[in-house]
Amino acid sequence: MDKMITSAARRARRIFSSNQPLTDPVFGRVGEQFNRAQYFVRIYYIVSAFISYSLMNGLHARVLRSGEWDYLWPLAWLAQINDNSIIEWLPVAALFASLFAFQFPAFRVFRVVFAILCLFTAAAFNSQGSISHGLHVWFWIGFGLVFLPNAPANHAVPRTVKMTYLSVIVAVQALILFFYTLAGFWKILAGLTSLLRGVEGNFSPRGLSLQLADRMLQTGTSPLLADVVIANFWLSWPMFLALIYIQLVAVIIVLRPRLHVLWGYLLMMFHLGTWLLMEIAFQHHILFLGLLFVMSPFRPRSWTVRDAISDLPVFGRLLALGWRTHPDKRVGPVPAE
Amino acid sequence: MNKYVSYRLSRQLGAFLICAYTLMAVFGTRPDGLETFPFFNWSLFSTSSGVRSDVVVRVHSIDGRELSSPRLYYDMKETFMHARRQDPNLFKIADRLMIAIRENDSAVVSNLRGLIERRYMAEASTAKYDLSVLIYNPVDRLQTGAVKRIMVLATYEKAADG
Repeated sequence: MDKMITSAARRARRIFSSNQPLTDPVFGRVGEQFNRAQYFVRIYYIVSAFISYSLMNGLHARVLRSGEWDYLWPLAWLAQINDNSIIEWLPVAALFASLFAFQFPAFRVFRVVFAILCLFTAAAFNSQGSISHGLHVWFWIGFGLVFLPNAPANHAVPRTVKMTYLSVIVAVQALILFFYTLAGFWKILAGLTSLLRGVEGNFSPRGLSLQLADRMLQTGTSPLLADVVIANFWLSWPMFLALIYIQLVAVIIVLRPRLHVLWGYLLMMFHLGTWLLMEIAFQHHILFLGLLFVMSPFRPRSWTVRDAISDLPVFGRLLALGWRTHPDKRVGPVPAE
Repeated sequence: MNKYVSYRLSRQLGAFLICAYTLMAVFGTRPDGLETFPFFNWSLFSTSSGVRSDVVVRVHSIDGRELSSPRLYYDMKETFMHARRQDPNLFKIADRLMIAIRENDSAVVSNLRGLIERRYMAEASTAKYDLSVLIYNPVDRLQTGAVKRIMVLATYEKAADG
């Protein structure tokens, strides 16, 4: 069974990985990636302290304003206690837990406690009858980091521990990118359904315009660029198709480190777009995309534009055929031999 | 745990997380159709269509004064405070009222009517209104106000003592 899983995973990795190997030196690379990953983990926890702190005021106001709570399952125990003031202490406790996890990154217990309190805090924000999704990514990164091995600072860390550490970071990156792949998948499914029915849908020139107009009608909002995009749907059509592609293939990008930085920025632009066109903001996603992908521990030190283009899923190699680059024309410093 | 075993397990962690998450988020939807927090299938604004429908409240008269044509509740910002605030709860109540009418559930209909008349039409002592379904093309309706079809589900009156 174990052999079957390992062989299937290898095969999948081979299919989805880039066929252009990175040029950074292999042995030096693991050490550098491990150092970057450790920084990422610590930054995540200090950022979590910031998020916990910024949530305190909102939760306090909700407790004061409303007696109506419909607790989600992680907070079902609060219904027994019947004391809403405990809700206000959840982000305070999450802040302390994140500071401990930041200060003592080698101790899993603090990461576990933080993940639980992060879940409680996010649940509290969604326990008033409807669920919003701005805090989901925050929780899932924290949950993934629970699996990190203990890698004590100021000690020589064995290579297997470094590799385990990096594998957990890859898993977290994969899960977060998978959220975008799911979003792309539903758009493809709905687009194909409309095509089969012969009606306007996601793949039609007015696909995005229809979506934006309906949102404006329902919410009465006037997003900054919505009118322009609705009026010029021949411009927005390719943008929308490109967005569906960027989302759908996102999870594959985890195995193509040359594209981590690019996809981090592209997904940030997507969130900027949801604000400019729909007044929907996912603030924390900008932060976490920056940390996980723009500052990815796996971003190569040097790469060529041609290699990056050929890494694009589905049609990268086709595009790269028409791109002539001198093999030494690399972006970033050339690694020492 | 042996460090090598731990490493081998961690190599499969990403695939495991994705499979487990998919099971919960896509196939683990609750019987009432709601998501199981913190799992979510990330289907946000997935479908665009040239034919949309919307359940709306349209007002025919206020305080005995007949309007020249029925007006959408949310367009009457000069009259109703909740229309000015674009309070989204009336959307949900209108949807629930439509379901109650279809299921012939008079108790729920009466309850929701009371809520609409007392809370959302508090500024009017009497009013005549209907619950309708609008069928429209979103872009056309936004740009010109055009609606393809209006289906009136029920017409109600808020009485002076209501």
